[in-house]
Amino acid sequence: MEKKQITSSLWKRNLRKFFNNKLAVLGLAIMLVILFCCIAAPLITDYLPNAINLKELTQAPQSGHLFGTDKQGRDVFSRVLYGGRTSILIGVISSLMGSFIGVALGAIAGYFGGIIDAILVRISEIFSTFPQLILILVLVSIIGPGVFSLIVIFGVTGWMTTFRMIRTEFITLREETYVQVARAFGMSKRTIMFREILPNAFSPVIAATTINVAGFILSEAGLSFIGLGVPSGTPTWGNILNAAKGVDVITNFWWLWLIPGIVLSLFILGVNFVGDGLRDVLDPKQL
Amino acid sequence: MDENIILRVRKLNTSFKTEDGVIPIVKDVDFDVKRGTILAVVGESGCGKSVTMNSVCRLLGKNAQIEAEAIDYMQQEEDGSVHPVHMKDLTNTSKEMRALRGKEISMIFQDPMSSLNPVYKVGRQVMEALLQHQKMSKQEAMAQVIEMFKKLGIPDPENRVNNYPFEFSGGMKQRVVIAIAMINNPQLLIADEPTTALDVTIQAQIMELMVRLKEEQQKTIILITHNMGLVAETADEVAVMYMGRVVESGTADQIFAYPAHPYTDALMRSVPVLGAMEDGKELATIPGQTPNPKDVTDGCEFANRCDKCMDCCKTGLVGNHEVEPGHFVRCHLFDGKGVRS
Amino acid sequence: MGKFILKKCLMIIPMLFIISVLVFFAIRMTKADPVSWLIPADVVVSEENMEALRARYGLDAPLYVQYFRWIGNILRGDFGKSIVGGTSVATIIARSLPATFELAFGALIISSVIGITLGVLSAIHQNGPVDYIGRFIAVLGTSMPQFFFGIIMIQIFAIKLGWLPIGGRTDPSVVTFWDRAKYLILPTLTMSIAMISTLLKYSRNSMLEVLNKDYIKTARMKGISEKRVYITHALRNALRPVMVIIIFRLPLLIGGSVVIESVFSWPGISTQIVGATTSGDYPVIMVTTLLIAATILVSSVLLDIITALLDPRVRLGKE
Repeated sequence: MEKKQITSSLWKRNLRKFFNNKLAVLGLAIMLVILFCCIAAPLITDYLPNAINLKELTQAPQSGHLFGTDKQGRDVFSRVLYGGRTSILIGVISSLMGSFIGVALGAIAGYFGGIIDAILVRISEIFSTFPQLILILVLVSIIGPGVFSLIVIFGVTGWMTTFRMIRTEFITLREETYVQVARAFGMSKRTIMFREILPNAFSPVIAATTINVAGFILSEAGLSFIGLGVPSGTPTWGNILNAAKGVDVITNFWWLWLIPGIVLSLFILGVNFVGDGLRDVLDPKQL
Repeated sequence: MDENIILRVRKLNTSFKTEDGVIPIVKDVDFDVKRGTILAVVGESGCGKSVTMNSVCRLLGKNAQIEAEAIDYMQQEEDGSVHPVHMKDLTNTSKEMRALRGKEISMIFQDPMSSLNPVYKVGRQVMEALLQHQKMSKQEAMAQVIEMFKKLGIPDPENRVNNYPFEFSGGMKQRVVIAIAMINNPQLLIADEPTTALDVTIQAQIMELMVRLKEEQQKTIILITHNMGLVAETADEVAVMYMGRVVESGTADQIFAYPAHPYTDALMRSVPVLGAMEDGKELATIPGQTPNPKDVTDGCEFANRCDKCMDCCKTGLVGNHEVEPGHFVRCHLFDGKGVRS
Repeated sequence: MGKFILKKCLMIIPMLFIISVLVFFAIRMTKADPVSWLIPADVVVSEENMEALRARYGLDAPLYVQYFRWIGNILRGDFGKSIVGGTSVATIIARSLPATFELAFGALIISSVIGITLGVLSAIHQNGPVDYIGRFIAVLGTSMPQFFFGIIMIQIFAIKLGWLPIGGRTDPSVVTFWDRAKYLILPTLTMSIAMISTLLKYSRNSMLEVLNKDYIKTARMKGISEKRVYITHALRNALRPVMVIIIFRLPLLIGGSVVIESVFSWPGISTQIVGATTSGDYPVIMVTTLLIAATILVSSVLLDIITALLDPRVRLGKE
């Protein structure tokens, strides 16, 4: 009972601290607005993202087409909204998956130590010294492009930060008295690891996961931009910007690259602000 | 002004700007340090004793606000004449301030492990202080450093100057720190818990070294500590601090004979003092916890833990009473009466 | 110290071995038959001819035999041939790797100088104007896709102002250093922006942490100038963790050049890898990946050694 009260007041304090951070609140607002628009895309725009209209090629922004139209006459506004759905989905799921892998491996490495720890640390070092994009390229060439394979690839290549965090926390926490007590009570290793230690080590992971969402959305954009990400049939923020590769587009059709780029950057900015805010609240030791 | 006084502090107030507003840490602190004596500033951790000294030396960050009626250092020239330096008018990094640091006033910090820069040889670190204030060649400076190491009991000084801090034990490191502090022959040495991080036997050696400095070289020492035993053994004068205020001050004899403030009394009963404790008497503890500085706004800071707390203690300011000559107590118990009445 | 360096260098060998195994098997385990890439889709080839083709490329042997043959050839300096153009992989690498290195090291130098300087100044003048500018740059660098920043740079400096060329270093007129430098400016700057923001954040925090240390107070109490406190006492200690970050970021620079090379049509190794990935040119993918891994390993060992040299504890062999 008392413990519950402490936890809830801690939550209240953390919430207050988060909402005192003006940048974090601004970030949250930007993030939520864009997220809402993407989810509610069919209610906001009547255009379908892939509907080609040869009568309205490369129209500048106007009342009918808020963000103009592209070279195939597709409505850019609608493409940005629908594209956001896929991009954000990829970012969120990949980040959750990466954190899941990182937490699991980090818990094992930190709790057991010894050879298991040494091997896992080595693996994570190999993964993090290796250029992620090259790794992704190799993996793309193996499993082929697509939303699903991108998520898998991001998850597999993006677990090292959480791994390091959880591992360090576990190494310190496993020697704490309450863990010793739990061990003396004969609790199973799994219960100790995930019920007793993990909740106390988890808060930095929340912030890291949030910030990773931003990173993966950027990676998706980069990969799709060079044509190795999501196949061009599905609109994503990266695919939309892929259309802006030519010099003629950069020179003549600013709305095709500037607007999607700004929306993407704003969303990432929002996520980063929220992530930084969360980190200040949940993990004061970190950067 | 009394020529025997080397440092005079009046109405020193230091507060810190934080997210939760401005928090006062040091409140209306007054004290005098007499030349050639050891003043012990005593109190629990967080009572503001370190902040007080850091305020005097201007070592606090930009979020600290320092106000004072006077912080005067009496600088003695070679011909024996004395003139005051008004330190409260100097900025943190001014030339005048820097001329005092190391040359006139030195400071030793609590943890010798972290007081030395890990990436430089110790000889170089001591030499730097010397070369800052005196014109001489590096060879001459190094010779002086070796001389100082010898004086401070660091064995094999010719080779040890070329070692890095991590190659020294805690006690030896603290000697190096003292060497840095003493190399320019300053008059006032402020030692912030100089032995807390050390083993007991090493503690005794370091304290002996400091007492010797006072006696043989007539240095003035401000010893910041929470260790009453240390105070009893070394101090001439004592100032007891609680929650940013000096609650009691006087000579060591006065304070140990008649601990007037309930806090001083409790502090003394809670610490084993060799020889000063009667057989069979139990150690007392001070009930309750030091409150958070931002929660204390009115009344006596010690009221919530004091077993002699009265209604008048909970609001308003508490007066400072001179209960016997030179012995001051900030407590309502002595409103209008002396300590021996 | 010599022992430490030797130990570090010996560590490279098993790491490289593991990476080569991973690269080889990962790429060769894909279902696609490498031979099928060799034959145009509209040509019908009998199974017999396919076998002959496999035998010619040594693809009929078991995978592990192929691996040892491959690694043996590499050790002898034979990197194999591209199955698409028939050019030797060594030639492809010799042509494209220097371009990528130019880019990566240019970006490394620019971002280290700008990032660390701004970070340290932000820490010294915490909450001052420099600090705010620094924070703004840091936010910009982490929130903008590199290629988007690159496009904006092209739009402003190449198209609007016409000061700098858009891209493509392959122009025959590019001879002198200044000619090349002109081509380098936009890509390296674009590539630096993300790294600047990371280094800025790290060096700012590291510096702030160091400035709170007791030895800084000790230094101040000696009466030395603030400049000396910062440069001699704080900077050297603050830079050590930043070096570690640089080691961790190096792979990102080389790998991160993929997008930059694409934006500025830079004839680097990443462009080759992307090309090889889309056309299934496995000899090229395998060797280039291995090469990048090797470069990164070697440079991270080098940086490890440099970092150690800054720390007397490691330098004197006592940890």
